[in-house]
Amino acid sequence: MPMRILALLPSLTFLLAACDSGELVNDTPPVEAVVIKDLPADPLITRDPQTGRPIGTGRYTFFSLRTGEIVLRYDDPDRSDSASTAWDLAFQGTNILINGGTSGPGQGGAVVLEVPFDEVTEAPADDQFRVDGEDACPNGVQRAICPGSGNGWYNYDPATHIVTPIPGRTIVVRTADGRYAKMRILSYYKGAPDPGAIDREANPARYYTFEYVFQPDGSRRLQ
Amino acid sequence: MFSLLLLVLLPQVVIDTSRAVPLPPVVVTATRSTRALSEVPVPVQLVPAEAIRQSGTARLSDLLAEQPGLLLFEDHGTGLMIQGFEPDYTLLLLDGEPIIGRTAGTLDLDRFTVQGLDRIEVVRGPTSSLYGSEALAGVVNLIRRQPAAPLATQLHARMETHGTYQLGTTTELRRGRLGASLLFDHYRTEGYDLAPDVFGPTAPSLRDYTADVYLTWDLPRRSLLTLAIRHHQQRRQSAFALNGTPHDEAYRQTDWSLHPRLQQQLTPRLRLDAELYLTGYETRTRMTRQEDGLLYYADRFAQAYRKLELRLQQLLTDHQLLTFGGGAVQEALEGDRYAGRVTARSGFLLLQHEWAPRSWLEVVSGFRFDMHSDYASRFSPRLAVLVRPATSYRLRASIGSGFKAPDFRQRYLVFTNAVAGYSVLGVTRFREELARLQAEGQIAQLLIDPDRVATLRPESSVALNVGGEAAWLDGALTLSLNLFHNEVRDLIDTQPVAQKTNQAFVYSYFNLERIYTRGLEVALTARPQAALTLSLSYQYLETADRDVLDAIRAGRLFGRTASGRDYRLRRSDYGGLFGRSRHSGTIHLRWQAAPPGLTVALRGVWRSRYGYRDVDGNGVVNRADEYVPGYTLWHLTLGRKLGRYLELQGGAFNLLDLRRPALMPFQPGRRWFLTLTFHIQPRNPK
Repeated sequence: MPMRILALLPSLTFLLAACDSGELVNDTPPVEAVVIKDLPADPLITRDPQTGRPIGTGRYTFFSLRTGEIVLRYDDPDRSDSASTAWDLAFQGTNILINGGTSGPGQGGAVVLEVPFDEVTEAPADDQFRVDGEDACPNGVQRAICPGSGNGWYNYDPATHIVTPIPGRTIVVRTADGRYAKMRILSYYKGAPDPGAIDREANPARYYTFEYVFQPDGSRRLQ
Repeated sequence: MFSLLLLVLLPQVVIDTSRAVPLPPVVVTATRSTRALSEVPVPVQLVPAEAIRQSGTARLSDLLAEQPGLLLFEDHGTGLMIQGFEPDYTLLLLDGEPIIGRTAGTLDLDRFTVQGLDRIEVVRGPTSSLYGSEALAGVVNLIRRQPAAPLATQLHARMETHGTYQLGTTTELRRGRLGASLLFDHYRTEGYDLAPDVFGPTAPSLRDYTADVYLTWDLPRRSLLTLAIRHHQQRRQSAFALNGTPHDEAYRQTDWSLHPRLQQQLTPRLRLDAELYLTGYETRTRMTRQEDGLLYYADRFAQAYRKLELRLQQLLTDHQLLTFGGGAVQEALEGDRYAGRVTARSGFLLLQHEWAPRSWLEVVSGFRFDMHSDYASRFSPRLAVLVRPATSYRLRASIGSGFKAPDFRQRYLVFTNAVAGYSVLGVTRFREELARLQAEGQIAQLLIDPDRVATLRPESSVALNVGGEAAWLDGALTLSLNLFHNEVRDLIDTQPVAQKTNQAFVYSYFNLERIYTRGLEVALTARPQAALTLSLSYQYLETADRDVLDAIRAGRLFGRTASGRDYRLRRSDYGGLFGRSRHSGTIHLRWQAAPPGLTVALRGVWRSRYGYRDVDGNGVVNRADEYVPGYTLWHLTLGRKLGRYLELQGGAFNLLDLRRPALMPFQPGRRWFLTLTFHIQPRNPK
């Protein structure tokens, strides 16, 4: 499945931004909101016949927020790009890594805010950013974006086994080269179905659909 | 007014009931003393034998489901929801003694036949001041029929949709000072399948046997000795597919109880109640592969409960009755998930003062103090007041505290999921098991200081009930009303404590959550003619998790629309706790035509939508598709006497055949039934 990148039309972005802020700052053009659909994050190859646990390759898909492109797919056996600053986020199952700390050579970091995407206008101060391998999560692992139900970006329902992004949570990312972006995850299932209507066959898990805004000029402004 | 005297002379009252003098309905559960229903200062609901019989129900679940203000809650069985509480928080009693055997907190009401019952008393609001743990939302007391007739036997045969049959007999005997009630009941059903394209039935086939013996002996010098023995067994057979391979599931549950009791009038004003209660409960589950019988899973669980209780009731001057009691309990538990056998001891003291200082005023105050070897001690007070400004008006107010002890899992569980690798440890096992895991090198890191896993506090509540009753037109029209508020804290939940080297977590239990439930219960009964009764009831219920409300207030909780827009939740968007309907009600229409001996009972049970899942990932009910839509069930029962010995009863439950297989797998649709009852009672020698 080739990945599609949908950059919203600038005029539409303009309209949205105008609606949200009420007025538009003239000298700074609005940053673009981008939606990435169905980024494969090590989808299931099979399940363990005994335990039913999902089995994938265990490898990450690396993504650049600046280019909006995958740098290295999970199914590419050549992993040389992973030790570079060409990527900003890496996805595998429900795990998301940033390019910094123990995960990469970049200046990356992230913070999960309990503020809806549209209301995040500026990246928070650097002391609020967390780094992989440095900051502990409620479940003990040291990760910028905490894994585990309710700890970071998703809730897991043990009755239905469905992973649902928590509404109103915005991940502010510091990229490998120290710029800022904000993102919200829309779905963990291929085709981004409504979470109430996930079809196991048609909507396999571990496909991310997310929306983000990247600020290329190095400022903290995120709208 | 002077009914306080009534209880002191109880053995004679028992004999009185054999005469055809209609006494005002009496209840025993609310104060542990025999009181007229109209004089009890807390809300009590009475389901008399007549209503049980007219409903045509076979199992307790069907019977309670249609009573005003009671709703069923499905979770590992059919449990009861009172004032918005899950089944864990309601105590079920058989003749005043606790029934054990809960699965995931639910005491399955399908276990109980309604045969042999004289009445059911339902007390609303916390009654831990008398009964201790679990009496937080309320108490349901199943009361056996006292043997009164010299000889009366009843045989009943019942058939119902889904291959359901019930065959039973009840007999009562009385010879002078000796009395006996005997019951045997067999119930079986073939189950049903709402999803034929999925392998395995929705509800299993089931075989159920109940035997119950109740003996009474009026000793000279005003004492009454009773002995109750009960044995029950249920077997279920089901099948399911595991990764496409058919498996059989066999489940067997056995429970029994033995309950000797002595009621002794020591002086005309002092009475002693001495009770011994022994009960046991055991389940076995086996899952095997169909093709070769290979064992996939087996589990055994056994529970025993022994209690000795003594109570003294002293009638003082000025219409005061003092109850003083105490007891000791021993519990034992054995099961595959509990790593062997566990025992616990507890003791309690209770004191209650009932006082009628004026003819229009009654005050009941009391407390119980519970001490337990595994959790913190608990003091549960209650104060209740009844005021009668006029003969046909009564006002009630009560404030009390209820609690629920940490359950067995929370106390003793030693469980490791072989598939996912995580472990859950009950608090009493925590230190020892964590040390074992550490010694084995399985612990990668501790997430919190293990000393924080300390003794759990019981989950506890403070509750207020305020209401009253009014009667007009010589009792042809009655209205009752009750406002309630239950504030609950220290609800127990799991939290990770350590991370294992396999990345999975070790969990234990903590006192974490706070909730409240509040609402209004109203009931209106009209008897336009002697033969016709119309009852309407309505309940308004609000429930909430306090932490969710805090998050909403702080603007930290959001919902997501189907189109992906995030919005900040307002208080009005929050649908409260799962499984609770904001509105519910019942309508009962009963008509008795004397000459042909015909009875008609039409009942409607309505509930508004209730939350059952979280779709948008915020963990709470807020979107319309997170609710089960509201519904109404109608039940009709017709009964007719055929001569002196026979009675025929027939009808249907869920008359309009409401079915929602995905949302309500426990609702099989319309169930027709037909019952034939044969009464054998020798003519009175008059």
